[in-house]
Amino acid sequence: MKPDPDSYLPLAPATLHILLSLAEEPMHGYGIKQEVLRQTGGRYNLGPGTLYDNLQRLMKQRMVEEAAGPREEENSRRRYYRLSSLGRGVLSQEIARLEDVVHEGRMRLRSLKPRRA
Amino acid sequence: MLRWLYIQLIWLHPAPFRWRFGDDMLDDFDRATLRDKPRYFADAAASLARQWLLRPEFRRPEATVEASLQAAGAPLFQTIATYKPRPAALLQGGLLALVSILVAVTLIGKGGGARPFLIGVHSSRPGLLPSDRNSMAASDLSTAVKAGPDPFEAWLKLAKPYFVSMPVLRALDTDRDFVLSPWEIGNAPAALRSLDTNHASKLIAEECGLRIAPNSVPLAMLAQLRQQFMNYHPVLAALDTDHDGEISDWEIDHASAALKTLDRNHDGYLTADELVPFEMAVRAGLR
Repeated sequence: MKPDPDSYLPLAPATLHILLSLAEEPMHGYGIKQEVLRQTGGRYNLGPGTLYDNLQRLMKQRMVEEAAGPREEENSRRRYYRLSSLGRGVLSQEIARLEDVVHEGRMRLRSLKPRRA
Repeated sequence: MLRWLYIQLIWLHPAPFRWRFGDDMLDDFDRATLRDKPRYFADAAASLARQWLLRPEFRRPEATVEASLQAAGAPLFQTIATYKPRPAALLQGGLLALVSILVAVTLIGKGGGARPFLIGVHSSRPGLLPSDRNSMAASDLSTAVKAGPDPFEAWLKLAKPYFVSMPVLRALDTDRDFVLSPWEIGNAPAALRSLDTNHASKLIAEECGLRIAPNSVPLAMLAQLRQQFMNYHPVLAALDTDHDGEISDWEIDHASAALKTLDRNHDGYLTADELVPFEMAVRAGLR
């Protein structure tokens, strides 16, 4: 039976950023770490232990799979990872969920603004 | 020194995690600046505790001694008790290790801060030790640049005795070049069947290279030794997909696909750096 992407929501911040990093192209672990740093403006620095623990779990859940690296790095010993179709589905659902949260938050904050006399 | 300590921390992780991510963790550590390295130690220590305490589902099931004894029909009084520390004790050990590492890292960081011992003066002045630049012009250049050892040669040196000692690798590597080519990987089922000397349609640890004199160890310990042997060698761990300590008929049939999981750089070939156990490479200074 195909797993339901909704059952994995909500995602932990580390998981969300890892999936986001892999959304565009396959990356190795260090590349993911750098991409997460870029996404968060340097605020979220994933350590290797946390990163590879998350990758291990995501591979077990079949959201991420190993991929061939780029041709120019064929001799590299690094492993590359990419999003599976399930991972892409989970990421899309999480983004939609976060959009709802943002929309709801904006609505509520707007209603709290003091009105001009 | 710091790198050596970090390798020890990686080495303490459960084998499946270490085998899959150990190289990448070490590579990340090598790329980190000296200022960031203490954070890497803290992260590795936390990862160590997390993998052992919170991730039992990712560890391979170990063959229980009782089960192997019952299967062999041996009386239970031969059981060697498998001691498993309490989770609290493991946590305390992890914390102690973390504190020790932090102390070591702090001491190493402070090592360069000692006041230099000066003879005669407390501060240097330009005129104190005049340098005669003319003498430099007259001397010949004597600096020799020597290239380090070729890593390929070092791996080959390690691979030769390893391939010779492992019947499975000897059987797979038909052209004796210490590299498993795509053809040799494809031919793996036939090569492995040639090792099945007792025609049991499966390979046990002894047929894969475990050397142990008959009746030299109790039956219970033998089961554990077989399991450890199969887990230690990447090629055997990859072939034994259900991790039951032997390579079954089905696993022999699917050996080619299993071997391809070892191909980290996806070039189609399995080279020594992908086949030699992590610990062996560390001891040889290649990790």
